[in-house]
Amino acid sequence: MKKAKILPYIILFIACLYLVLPLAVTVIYSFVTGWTEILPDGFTIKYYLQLFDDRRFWPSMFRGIIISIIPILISSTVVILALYTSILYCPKLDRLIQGICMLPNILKGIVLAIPVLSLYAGSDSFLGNRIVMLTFVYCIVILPFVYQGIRNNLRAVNVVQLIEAAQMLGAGKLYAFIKVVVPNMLSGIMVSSLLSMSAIFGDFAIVKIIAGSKYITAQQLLYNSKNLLLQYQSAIVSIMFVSTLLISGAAFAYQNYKTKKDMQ
Amino acid sequence: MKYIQFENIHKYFGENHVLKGINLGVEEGELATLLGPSGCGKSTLLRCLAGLETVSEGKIYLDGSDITQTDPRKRNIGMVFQQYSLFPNMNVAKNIAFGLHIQKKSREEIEKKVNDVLEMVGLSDKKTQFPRQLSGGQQQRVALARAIVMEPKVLLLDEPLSAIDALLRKNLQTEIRRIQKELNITTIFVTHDQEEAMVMSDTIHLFNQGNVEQSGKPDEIYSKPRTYFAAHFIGRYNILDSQVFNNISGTAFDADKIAIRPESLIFSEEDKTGENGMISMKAEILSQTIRGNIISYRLKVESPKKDIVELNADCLFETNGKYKTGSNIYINIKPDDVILLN
Repeated sequence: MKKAKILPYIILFIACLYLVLPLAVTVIYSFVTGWTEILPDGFTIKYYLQLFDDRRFWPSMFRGIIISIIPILISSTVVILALYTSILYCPKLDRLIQGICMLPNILKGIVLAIPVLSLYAGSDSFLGNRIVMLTFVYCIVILPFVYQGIRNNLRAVNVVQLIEAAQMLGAGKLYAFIKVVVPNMLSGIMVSSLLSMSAIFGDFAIVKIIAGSKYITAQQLLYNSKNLLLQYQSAIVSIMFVSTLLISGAAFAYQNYKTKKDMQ
Repeated sequence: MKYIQFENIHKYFGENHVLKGINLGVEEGELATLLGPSGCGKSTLLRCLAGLETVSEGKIYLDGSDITQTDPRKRNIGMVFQQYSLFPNMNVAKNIAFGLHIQKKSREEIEKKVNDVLEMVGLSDKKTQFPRQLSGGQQQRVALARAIVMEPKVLLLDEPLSAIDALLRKNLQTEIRRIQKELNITTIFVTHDQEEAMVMSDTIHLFNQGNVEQSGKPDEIYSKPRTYFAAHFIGRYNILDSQVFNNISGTAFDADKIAIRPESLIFSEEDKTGENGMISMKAEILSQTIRGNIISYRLKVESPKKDIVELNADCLFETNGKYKTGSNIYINIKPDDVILLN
């Protein structure tokens, strides 16, 4: 009996260790002066100080965050509106939407970037702008995460009946969707957004192909630092991780605050 | 014209003809039940009245106005759904206040109305709870409160009790009826449960395959079914070909079918043929089942022409032990209790 109770904790501990270990090692490595055999020979924060002194670092972090958030907002809005239309007006469209949203799983972003670049690079319209191109390519890259997260959440609620109930209380369909259905999708949106953010934030290949030196993100900075000391690179990765963690933490804290406020 | 009037309502879903020319009226303040098996069109008619479905043909009038094409938001009709449909992201008070906010009522008025209606349904202490924290019965009462707080002209209840366990269902039947009478609100109730319909309704409209099979007061529907379907659906009627019944009973009824309520069969030890016109037949008890205060007997009757018929009979529990399975008895029927179906 006791054994059965302990076993899940052991499994959970091993899983956590497996997930956290690479990250912990990276963080530790960013603080070491050198490595002797299996232990570090000393600790320092000089790589962090160097990094913070680098004028390119904070702007690149900021760019990385902005280029992660905007595609998430665009993709989430598009998917939510598409699902709203399909669920309420044309359920047959759902399959088509699913097919389209899952397509980037087959057509990887890096494959997509090259034809997009050759198609729009010479365009005089706003689509010829590298940052616009990059934004829309990211929108497509994250579609599977966004769609799956939102769709899974929608399956848990009877959207049609909730909207009908709201209609009977005098609400319009879109108002009911925004006020009643969307709040129930927030956890799904949040999870898919975080997945999407980590995918975009961790990318350096697509941004390098499309934007090149016109839009340097933290990942690109990391890529460009490949000839520098590993501790310096580890410091960049650690800062990127902490930033993502803070953004996710802030999002979850806001969600908890809202739930508590609703409960009052 | 009645308070709610359906005139020749037809509804098609693709090629499926779901409502086949419904003509039906509901008086103001009445609780009318649409009763019938699944897929007979009762919920579709309710949804047409709510405006959640469009009618393919026909007119719907509410309080003298044609509302056939009116937006559901402007019909002033409240509805309670089978699965409650409470908004999961809102607590009880916010669920109830949702419609009042849309009507742009003042904060004080909303609070007063929410408190009043919560008191009416007996959930004042659950104001800040979320739907997931409530039982099925409590959720349904919140759904009812949310609908009646809007003071609708008509309240629609679409099988609101079907997802609730038997004991609680009986309490809620009484509760809904009490609130309906207290507010004198015209109500249309949809159910497939004939017992529930009997308990709650002023009038029952029995549906079958998109048509109204029979309308009337509960006792009338129960005691005087006009068609085979009505007799079959209401109660546990014994339905026989009249020729077979005439053979086993020695009578000469002229109808397609004969229906006899199980409680109309009176047991006796001796043949009572002719006593007050009584029809008497010899029967063998095949089985007996105790159903609370009722014992249901399964009987076999044989005619001189060797027609064999099985009948159901219900007796009060006091007969328990008096009649043994396998024994022979006489069953007696008053001629008035023989219902002719054509």
